Amino acid sequence: AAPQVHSLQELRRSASLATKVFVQRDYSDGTTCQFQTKFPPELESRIERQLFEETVKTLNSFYAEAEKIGGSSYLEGCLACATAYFIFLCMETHYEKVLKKISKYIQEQNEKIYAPRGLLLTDPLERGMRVIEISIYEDRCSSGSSSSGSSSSSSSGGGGGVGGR
Amino acid sequence: MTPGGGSGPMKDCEYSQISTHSSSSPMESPHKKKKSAPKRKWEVFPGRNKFFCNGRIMMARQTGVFYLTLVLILVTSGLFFAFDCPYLSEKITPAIPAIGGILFFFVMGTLLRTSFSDPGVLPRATPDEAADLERQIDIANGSSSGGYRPPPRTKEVIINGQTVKLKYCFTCKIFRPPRASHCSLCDNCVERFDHHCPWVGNCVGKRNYRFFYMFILSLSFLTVFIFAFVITHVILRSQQTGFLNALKDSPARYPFTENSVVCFFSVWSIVGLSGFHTYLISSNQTTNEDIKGSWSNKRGKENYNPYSYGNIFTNCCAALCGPLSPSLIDRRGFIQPDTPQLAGPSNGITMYGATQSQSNMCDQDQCIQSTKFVLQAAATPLLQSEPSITSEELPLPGKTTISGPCATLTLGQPTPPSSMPNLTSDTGLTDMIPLKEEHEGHQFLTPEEAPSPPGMLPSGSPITHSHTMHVLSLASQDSLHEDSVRGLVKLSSV
Repeated sequence: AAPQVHSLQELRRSASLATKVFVQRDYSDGTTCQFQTKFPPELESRIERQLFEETVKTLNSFYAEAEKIGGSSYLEGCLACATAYFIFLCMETHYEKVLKKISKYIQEQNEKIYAPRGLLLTDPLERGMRVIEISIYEDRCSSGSSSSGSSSSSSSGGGGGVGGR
Repeated sequence: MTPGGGSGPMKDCEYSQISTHSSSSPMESPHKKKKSAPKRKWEVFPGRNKFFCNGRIMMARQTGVFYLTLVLILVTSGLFFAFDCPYLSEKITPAIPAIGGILFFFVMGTLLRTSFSDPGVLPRATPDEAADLERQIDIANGSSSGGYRPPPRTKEVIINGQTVKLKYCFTCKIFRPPRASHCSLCDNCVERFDHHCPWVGNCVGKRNYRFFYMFILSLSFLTVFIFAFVITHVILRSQQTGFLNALKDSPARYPFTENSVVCFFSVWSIVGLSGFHTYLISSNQTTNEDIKGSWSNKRGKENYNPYSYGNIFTNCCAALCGPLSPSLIDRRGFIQPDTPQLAGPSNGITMYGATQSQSNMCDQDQCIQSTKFVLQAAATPLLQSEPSITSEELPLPGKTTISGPCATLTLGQPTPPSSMPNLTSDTGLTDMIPLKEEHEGHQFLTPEEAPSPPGMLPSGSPITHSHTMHVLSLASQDSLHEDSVRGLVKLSSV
């Protein structure tokens, strides 16, 4: 019997994608990047509500930090303007720095929390900052359909095996 | 066919790789070549944009007027520096060319930034996302959509107390965020869309609005500067020698005329435009919103701009010195083969199709059987449109899995299938396998996405398909169609 807990790499190899859940943007505060903390019903059986909400809230706080209009962002903006924006050719903006932090955080969350539960978070940056895509993987090892030897049984049982998730 | 199939039961991907690489099909080399030269995302970008410098520069399709802008600025400034500056720097102060130089440098820098950068294009929805949205819309509408297009889809959100309607974009298959708009010239949805400016050859949106504003502001200063000093030059000369003589003797009489004329007209238009945009910035509106009167009082007493920060200073700072969001379209990224997209409905077809799932079909016969299934399933819609060829009736696992292979056939391989009819059925199969390998690099539409119109191709399709009425006629290239049909007919004789 294959173990239930997967590492991130194993997940990609041994499981198959069942469905994807999309956490949409929350526009109630304007055009700032925030995601809805509403718990998707598809994840009901896969992960604790609190863990999920915590992830989304942390992501929201990261984005708020990136888009914060304050002293340092003004300084950066004025400096950039003064150099006719040539400085952007060599300098990384504050937003980009925070995005790097976000991607590290997502990677870490995936490894620690989501992959062991057969889930995978996709960085919203790869989806145009529109959604947090959560891929739900079905574990094929555990369904017992993957016994290697018996070809004939697998052809008829292939259907049954997969169906028996 | 290699006998290596029985060895690696769990690693289906390795198994299929063995079977493909060992066969000596002519399809292999173009397939391999394709794999070794991955494309960058800008090459398959679906909007109507032009890219330069390997994706670093992005502009609209029509760039003629931009070159005109460049020429006007360069010629006018050039003439100024060549003819007026020497005289003026002597007579008055050398600070004049210095300041002129700084202004010119600023104008060019901001112009190029405006024209070359991504205005804030929103990438189109991935097929999964689009399908999910469609599902939600259907649920919301309470009915499954038939053949006709349901009423325009809108979502309402409340932003700072004001109700804002979000519209669904049928091209990009997304609900547009507030303040975004679809530019018909560039065929993209752009965030905080201001307007499409032909003079800079690009849309003006969230990411390049500040560059655009600094450009027109500095250009107004430059034109006023040049205009003023050209006049000063002529006046000073005419004090010496008389006005008409000044014009006759000066080597700069044509440049003078040119400069004054250009500057005169520019001053009014550019200064006017700068003034207008200053007003827009201070009230935190876009040109689009202003023209439509979205937040004007005429619409109702309760109508106000929910994005405004309340005071002019903050609005200006936010627009000009706020954080600069990164480009969402990742032009220079490489197209990655995705992790397996197919889920398993319960039959052998998709089990074979999902290359990285551990399949239980290590047996050669099983392989052939299932491949045959897949291909026949794929063939069925093709064969439906060619009634002369008989096809077996197959329960289709989901129409979209069929459009997947068809679409990716046209996507990845414009020419290879021509080799298919030449092969015997056996090698024909192995030829389909490398095709399938390539397919995994593109997104499959899973059977669960069947409710959505199968006309949804992976958004990265570089070939514009003629979306004919019948959604399954996605293989729009007829020769390709014929070839694949021929190949499949041969296979079905196995």
